[in-house]
Amino acid sequence: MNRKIAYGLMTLLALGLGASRAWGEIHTQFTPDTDGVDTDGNGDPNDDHVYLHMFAGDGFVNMADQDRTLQYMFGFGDATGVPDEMVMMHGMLAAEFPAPTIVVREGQKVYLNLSNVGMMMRPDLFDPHTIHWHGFPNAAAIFDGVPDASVSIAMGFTFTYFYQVVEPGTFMWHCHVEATEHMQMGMLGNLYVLPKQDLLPPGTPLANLPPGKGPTHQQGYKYCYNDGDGSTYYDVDYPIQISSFDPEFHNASLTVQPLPFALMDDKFPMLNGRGYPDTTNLNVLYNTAGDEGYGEMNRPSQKVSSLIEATRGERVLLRISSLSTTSFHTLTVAGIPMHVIGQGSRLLRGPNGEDLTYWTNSVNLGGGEAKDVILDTANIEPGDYALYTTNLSHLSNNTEDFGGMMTEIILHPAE
Amino acid sequence: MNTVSIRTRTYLLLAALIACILANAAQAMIMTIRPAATPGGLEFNLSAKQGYILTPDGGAYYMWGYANGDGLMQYPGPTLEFNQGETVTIHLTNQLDVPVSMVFPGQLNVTAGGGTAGVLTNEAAPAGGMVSYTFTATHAGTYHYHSGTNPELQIEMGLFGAIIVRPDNQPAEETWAYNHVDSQYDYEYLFLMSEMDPTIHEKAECGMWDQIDMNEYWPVLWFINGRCAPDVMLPDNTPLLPHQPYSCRPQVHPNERMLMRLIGGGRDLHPFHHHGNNALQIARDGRLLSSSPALGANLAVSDFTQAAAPGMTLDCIFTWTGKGLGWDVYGHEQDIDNEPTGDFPGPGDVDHNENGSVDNVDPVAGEDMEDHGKPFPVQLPDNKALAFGATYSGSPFLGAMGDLPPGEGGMNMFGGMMFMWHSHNEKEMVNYDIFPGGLMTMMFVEPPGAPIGGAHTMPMGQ
Amino acid sequence: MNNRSNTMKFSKLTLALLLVLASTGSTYAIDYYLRAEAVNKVMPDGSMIPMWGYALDPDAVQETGQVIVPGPTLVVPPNDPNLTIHLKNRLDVATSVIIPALPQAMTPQRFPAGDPDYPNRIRSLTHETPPGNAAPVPYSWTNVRPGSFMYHSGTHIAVQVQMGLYGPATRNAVDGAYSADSDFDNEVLLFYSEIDPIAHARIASGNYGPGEIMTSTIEYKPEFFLVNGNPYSLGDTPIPAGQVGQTTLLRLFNAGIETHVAQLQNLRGLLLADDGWPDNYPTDQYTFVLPAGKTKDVLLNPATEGIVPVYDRRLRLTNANASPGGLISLLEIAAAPPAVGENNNEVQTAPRNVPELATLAQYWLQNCQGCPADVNEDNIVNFIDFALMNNLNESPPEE
Repeated sequence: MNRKIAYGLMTLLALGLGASRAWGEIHTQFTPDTDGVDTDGNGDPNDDHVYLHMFAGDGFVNMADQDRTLQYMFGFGDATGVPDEMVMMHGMLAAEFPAPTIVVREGQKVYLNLSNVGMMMRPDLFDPHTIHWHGFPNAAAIFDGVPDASVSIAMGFTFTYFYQVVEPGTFMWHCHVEATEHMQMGMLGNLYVLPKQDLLPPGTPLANLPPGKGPTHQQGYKYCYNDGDGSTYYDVDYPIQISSFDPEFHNASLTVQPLPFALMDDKFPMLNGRGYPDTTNLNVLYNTAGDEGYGEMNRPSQKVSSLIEATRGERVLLRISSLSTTSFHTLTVAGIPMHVIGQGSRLLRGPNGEDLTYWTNSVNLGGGEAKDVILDTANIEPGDYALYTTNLSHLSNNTEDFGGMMTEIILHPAE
Repeated sequence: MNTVSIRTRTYLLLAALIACILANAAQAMIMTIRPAATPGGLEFNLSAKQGYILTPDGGAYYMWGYANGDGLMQYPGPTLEFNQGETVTIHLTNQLDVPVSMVFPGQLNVTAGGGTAGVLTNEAAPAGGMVSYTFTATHAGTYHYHSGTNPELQIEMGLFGAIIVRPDNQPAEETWAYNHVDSQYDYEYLFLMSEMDPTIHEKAECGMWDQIDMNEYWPVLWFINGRCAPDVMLPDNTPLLPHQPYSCRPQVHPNERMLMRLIGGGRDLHPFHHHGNNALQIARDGRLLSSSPALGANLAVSDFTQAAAPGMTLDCIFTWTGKGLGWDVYGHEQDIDNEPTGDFPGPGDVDHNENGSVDNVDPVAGEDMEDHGKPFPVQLPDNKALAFGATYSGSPFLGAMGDLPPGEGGMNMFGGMMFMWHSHNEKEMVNYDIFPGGLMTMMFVEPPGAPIGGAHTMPMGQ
Repeated sequence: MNNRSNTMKFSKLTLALLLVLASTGSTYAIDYYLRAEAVNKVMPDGSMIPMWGYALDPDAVQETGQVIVPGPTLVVPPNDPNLTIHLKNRLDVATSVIIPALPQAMTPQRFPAGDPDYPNRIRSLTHETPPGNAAPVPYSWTNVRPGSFMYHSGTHIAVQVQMGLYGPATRNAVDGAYSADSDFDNEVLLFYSEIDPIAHARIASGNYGPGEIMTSTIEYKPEFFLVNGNPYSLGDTPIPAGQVGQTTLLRLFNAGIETHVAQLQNLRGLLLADDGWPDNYPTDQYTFVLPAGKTKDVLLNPATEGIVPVYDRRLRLTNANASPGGLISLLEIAAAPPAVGENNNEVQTAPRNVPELATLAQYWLQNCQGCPADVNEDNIVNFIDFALMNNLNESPPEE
């Protein structure tokens, strides 16, 4: 164990959190589903409650440049299924970027437990954390995660968020404590809600299914929204989250220097927490923190690939969101049109059924925006395409070009 | 454990009394200027002046701004209010030592009188020059104005402001933003967004014009209605901010309709994220999003972040009811006197409204009946495990107050529910290097019956 | 029939249509011969900016076209949706051309797996044209839909696009921009782009790349902002944009790396389309957000004559910090013509049927006396330019 880690652990011990008794402060909550009502529409009345357990702490990730630049980060990780008494150890330096993707279904009741495991590299910090389900409709402040308006959970303890999920769509989640800092540092991830329409009885008529799929719903058909007509049908979906790191900021955080908020200037533009070409790597990426003396081992810290694969004729749903802390970005796919079917977690449809979806070739998102885009590959030649930012100076991994905010789409020929 | 010890209806009278005493504490409507109408239309007298604004980080910055008559320079300029169909003349007197002007994007047939021709419009000469602009406000809506002279510098220096045109066909008893009931609202608030690079202002103050490089532009301060958070929460016309009269303190009761008038006043796009609920974007650039006037805002789009582009105006309707939470956020018919998940009914529970049943109170308008009386779903951790927000009431329930540790909370008089409304390019939530601040405010969902401020339209010249 | 009664006047587009119809042996595909080559551009402050641009050559052999930035407007005729760009490369690096908003089979080119700097990474979104190629490399699109599009380099886009390898491409429906609902009398293109002089100098002088002074484009800092290739200068002649009572199609393009917001003053417009995709419900606006790479089409129906300024509300209104400059355009709306005789009631009947157009085209081809040698039915673009320059926008005499 290196000196820095030892110092962090000593601090935790001094706080009375390191001893075996104190681990017990991690107390997650879950109420089993006993109401006998099938609220998510899957036919089982007793499985509508969902238990999730996330931890908030720190860790490291590598950038996609040839030097594999190591960046210190704050972040979340998944502790679902980890015994409460092991969570502090489980979460030590184990933060992921992006945060674990949360996928739930409309009608479910989610008990989202958040344990604050502390920042091992920053024993001087006692930051609490929260979860903000970005875009949650009719939110209650207590579960909205804004520390100013509610409560946030201190190091060594657990807060249980409760969400009755009533709106399908593409959302995001992130920590809202010291939001500029914690989000720049990496506490953000994908979150989306599947619609009940996926579970329609087969044979239900839907008027606007893709050619060859209609005229009725079949088992396994998937939709972005409860459109009532099958118009948001998709075959494969990919969350694509825009984010970016400012290495000066991350280095200042690691070395306990004043944080350059005013000078914040992101140099590692990313999709799902990776720059190109790492975006196209299907594997979980392990960091080099252990090799570089931060902790005892290299940890799996970047788990979300952005490689998009489909077979010609399929509809590809891109759930695009941005949690960049600094700027707007525009994404395009050269050679494949985009059909924007939703934004802000809602189907683009007017009150009288007006079709407000639109075709375009690029979408522009600021932080906190989400757009649902369908790529219809029916008339697209098989091959490799690029999804990338048209802010072309962000096709860099800092000092290295041919990187940054870009991934690839592989369109296979139809059988 | 947190205990919830104050009940909505018993404290509201007290709250109303407090509100009367602190009359300035809650100002809800948009402060505007509007001269008396004359047969020739409305005549505004504005001047372009210099002055200083204050920022929460302790900064005082040299600015140019429009002033109402001989009043103080304002950042932003006065919000001009007209009625649809009125002919408006704006007389601008230039008290700066550079030419200055005004343009009115989105208005048609603007004619300029006097002054000298500039690139975009006629300009008033330095040190006392005058120019007038006349147009007819043909359509209701939210608009803005700004300097048409070296806009890249003069907008940065503060020469811009908002315009509100009232519709000509709304029922007398209602407030509409446009000529359709889809734009009906109970409260309206202005969100005029801008940003600033202080180095430009420091150089301008010293007359170091040749040192200002607009290509080095690097904003570090972000504003709503000319104030950085948390100053947006101070009342309108606070003497603490003599050149920044406009607050941004949105408040609404459940089930009421709030009109958000968003304007991109500066040069950057800001993704304005409003916690609490989606809002329906009903108008853009001063036009209802409509395919036919009779169909109203039938092209309206729901979103949780409004991307306000520079120059663009957006009107959105926001409503919050708490529908679908799966628990009774109004705290009806459950154990509000003890910890939220405790026994109910049980010892210590009080029949607050004295109807013979412990807390068996009527639902409120807009409440989700599915959730009425449903208990709070989880147990809140012990206080020692929590950090508390300044606008946290101490209770998860709307209209209730809970016990908070000494020194915590306090900025929530009526047990309201607070939601952060802010730029989600989170960098813009700082004042220079200090978090939090910037382009941010707290929106208050106040419990039913809690006071919300009144109108603050000022007659000209006062 | 008097040509003045047409609701869509003779334009490059109309002429292109006529010529295609009139040409014998037409393959129903329009071919453009582009040449990528370095060029210097002088800015209003006198600074010389090394750029890369496109020239429009008459054929596969001659290299007589002038290198310009943005590249030439490639008009795809209404009745012929097939476009081929034949590319010659006179740069030192491989290049290519893509139209991102049009479906196109892509054949990405990658760095070798053993490349020390960028192993296996895509360097070109589609097949490349090597430097110094003798035979032009074709890039083809079929079924080009009506709309405003941008073509630009598909190779090392972070560098080549900002160096100037971009240009507009347009196609109209036979009865309007997209349909009869978007018919128009005049067309104005405003094509925005940006110049970072330091990056241009470094890239042009070989100081860009791994191990060089400039290793990436991340520190982008533009100083010049161009509309149709030139920043605004005080005294620039306003752009004719039709007259009161007429409809003008404003085609907006942003080849810059930043978002710009075109703001109209004293006029509003109907936002018709985005990247050449018509909106279901056009909206009445005065700001038009142009993220990087975006095109938008706006219909203008001015009711009063005068100058309509269009400028970037993101306030890129300087030339290397000198004001005014940058992204300012002045559109000039002329007064409505005085009322004419009783024949004016022909206004509603445009000669849109194909045989009539073909007759018109034949007439002009036969009567094109004094045309330069390279102006003939085989060379549509030169003919269009010649026709426009010589004001051949008259109808043949009634017979």
